[in-house]
Amino acid sequence: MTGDFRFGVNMVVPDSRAAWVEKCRKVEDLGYDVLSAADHLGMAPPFPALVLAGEVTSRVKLNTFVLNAPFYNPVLLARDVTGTDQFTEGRLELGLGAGYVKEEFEAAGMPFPSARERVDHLERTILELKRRYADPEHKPGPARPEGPPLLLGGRGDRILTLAAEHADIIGFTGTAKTPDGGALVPASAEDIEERVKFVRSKLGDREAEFNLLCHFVHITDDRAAALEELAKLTKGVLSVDQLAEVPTALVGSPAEVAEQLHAHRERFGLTYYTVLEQNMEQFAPVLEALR
Amino acid sequence: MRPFRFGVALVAPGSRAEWVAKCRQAEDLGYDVVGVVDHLGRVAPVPALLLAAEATERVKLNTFVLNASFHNPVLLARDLAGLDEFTGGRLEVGIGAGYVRAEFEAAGIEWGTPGQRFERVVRAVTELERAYESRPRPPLLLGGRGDRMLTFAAEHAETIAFTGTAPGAAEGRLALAGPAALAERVDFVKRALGGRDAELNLLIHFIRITGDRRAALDAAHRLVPHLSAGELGELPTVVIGSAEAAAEQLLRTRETLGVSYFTVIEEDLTRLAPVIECLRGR
Repeated sequence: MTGDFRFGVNMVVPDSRAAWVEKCRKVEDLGYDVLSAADHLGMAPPFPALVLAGEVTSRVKLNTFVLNAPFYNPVLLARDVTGTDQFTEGRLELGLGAGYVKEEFEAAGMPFPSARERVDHLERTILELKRRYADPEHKPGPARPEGPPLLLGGRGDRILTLAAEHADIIGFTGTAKTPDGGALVPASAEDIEERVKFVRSKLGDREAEFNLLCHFVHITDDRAAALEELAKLTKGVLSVDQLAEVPTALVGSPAEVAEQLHAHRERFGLTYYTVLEQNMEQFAPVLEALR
Repeated sequence: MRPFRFGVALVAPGSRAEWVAKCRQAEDLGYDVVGVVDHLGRVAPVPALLLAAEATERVKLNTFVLNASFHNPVLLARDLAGLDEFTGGRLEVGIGAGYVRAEFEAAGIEWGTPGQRFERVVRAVTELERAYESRPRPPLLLGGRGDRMLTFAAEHAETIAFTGTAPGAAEGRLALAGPAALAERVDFVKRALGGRDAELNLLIHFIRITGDRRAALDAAHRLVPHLSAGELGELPTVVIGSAEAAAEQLLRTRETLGVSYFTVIEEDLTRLAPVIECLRGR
């Protein structure tokens, strides 16, 4: 146990069966709580990848992080979601987003809808899924009557409002506001705090878990030098002082990072972090430090 | 002559334990291929085949058949290439044009013309072939009834699947093609193949292993009233009789039509098993 925290690993590298199986087991052995499959062209298809992950692990939750909802017909998606939920015996946590990589829509031969249209589609998808979960005639049915936990990820007002209304888990992107379809840029701590406050205002009394995709992990004894390095790597978008504050960059010794996580929980309410697969081993000592 | 292969197309969604048990049962009964259909309210095909592979050791895994209109071709190619990798190369891909209009409507997908539905099959196959540009792709099964679809199948597929249905097949009614009509479709494909060797598959629509052939033929006739009991008695898609007689019938079908790969739907899983047993090594 890592206190009230949860930690996930986002799998983004396509692999052979043997390598995938080994990686999934490592995620569980290292003590992570959640194994996530990203949804991009050139990566593994999320649902079969998660069913296989479920077969070779016993404990970790299995999460789509996050499905590009406009890629899918909601009715057919419901079949894959409830089917995967059944086949993983209720270990699925469904993560949905509105999609953001314009080139992927083009590669899939689909128009890139406006941000508004993409969120509209996401909303229709959520409502369709909930309707199907609640319909006893819908087959396959979900493992639990209420369906798998829902994670909604995004940064804009509309998507976070939807998340506050429907999601069990709110996935903050930790990215700054940029032109639609453009490259992602890390947000400052103030920006992230503003998004968190926005969600809290929409949630009212409802409880939700706050998740963040942690873009940068550097476990080191020399935090100052690592932050300098990161400032260069991110081309000065954020200063060293700003980087020292952001929850998307976890930098320092395991004890220092554990301390940061406690501070971030106070400030942002974040209790669930997802790290990228290339950082899973490096980050594992932090899980130890929190035990 | 090709060796026999036997497949079952599984339909019913269920729990993990039920699905695993069913796939193992099919393998234990001697089937060569475990397939999944692609319909609303039925099992989710791609996750189901992954789990089928984990639950079994020997059988091939096939989609029997994907409705091309249900899937974006690029995403489908990702699903299939991933499945192929994750199942250790046991995947056989089956694709068709879809035929249940009510399902298109329920999913909000345009039904379109037969030509449009055919084009969606072409795009699905094209994207699959593109995903495997630099390496051999999984075996492809293409199924259908019309000239256009069967011509395309003869050009692209390792396995050509005959539906055994007559034009105007309506839901809830088994509109089987008669013996002459089915033979005509097989001849059409052989001409289109032009000497290329391909496996021919047939869906067995009605099977009863019984000592009372008369009663079972009458039951079949009630289901398929437009064909006489006599016609049903010689129809390759209708298998009635003792296991030995059924085995003889499949041998004859292979001899006369060249069909060597037979598929039954889940409800007939155990019915075909003694016939498979009789045909072992023949």
